[in-house]
Amino acid sequence: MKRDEIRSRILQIFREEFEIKDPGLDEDLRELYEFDSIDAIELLREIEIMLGFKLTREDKKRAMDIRTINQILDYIDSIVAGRAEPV
Amino acid sequence: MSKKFRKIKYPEPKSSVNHLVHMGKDARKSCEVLFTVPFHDLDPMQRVWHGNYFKYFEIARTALFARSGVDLFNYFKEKNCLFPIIKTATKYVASLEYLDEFKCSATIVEAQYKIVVEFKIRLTRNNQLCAKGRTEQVAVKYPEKEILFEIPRDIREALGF
Repeated sequence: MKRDEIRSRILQIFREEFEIKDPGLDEDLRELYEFDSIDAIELLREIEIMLGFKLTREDKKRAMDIRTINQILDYIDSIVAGRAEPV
Repeated sequence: MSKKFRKIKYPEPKSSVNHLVHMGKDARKSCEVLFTVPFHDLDPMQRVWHGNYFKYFEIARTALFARSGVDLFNYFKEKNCLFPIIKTATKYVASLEYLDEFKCSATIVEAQYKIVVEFKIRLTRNNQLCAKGRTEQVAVKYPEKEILFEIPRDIREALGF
């Protein structure tokens, strides 16, 4: 999945699941939209569904510091890169 | 203890044929408890005060878990894992009044990432739906208060997920 596709899917999840419409990519989701740790658990579940595999507990713990959409996209990139087969 | 004080007994969970039909053959997933509205649950308008429904939900949920051999308080004592409620929703369709007999059903709909239970309160006499509810719980490690992201396997499997 390309970053553009992931971004539009993530924004769709925010719109549908959390009623947060088109947040700025670098806006602080906690400060501006009251996105909390409970929402984060649900977002992680949606990310698992999107990626088609389960995240490890360490990966999930790492996600708890995320504050912006761009950080979510970086996080997904790093997970996908970590899963890629070494050449 | 004086004979004047009778031991309070929670109503015994009673299985609902309807729910067993809805849920397939998995009786672990649904449970029903019978109640009679007591005087002390009423508000000044003589209806059950909205906050009291959560107590009915709690009793039905406990009965549902007990049927699967799950006791979350014992689990906390043994494994230092808490299951706090993180979200609730209730829709009040029709009011409950003094001495109304009603049944509260609890149906488990998810137990992998969080425990989600849905409730329905119906009058016994005509089956009228009075309220619908939903509670969500996550697993939290104690005393660290660390969210576990998934329900421990033993609980999950006991609940049929």
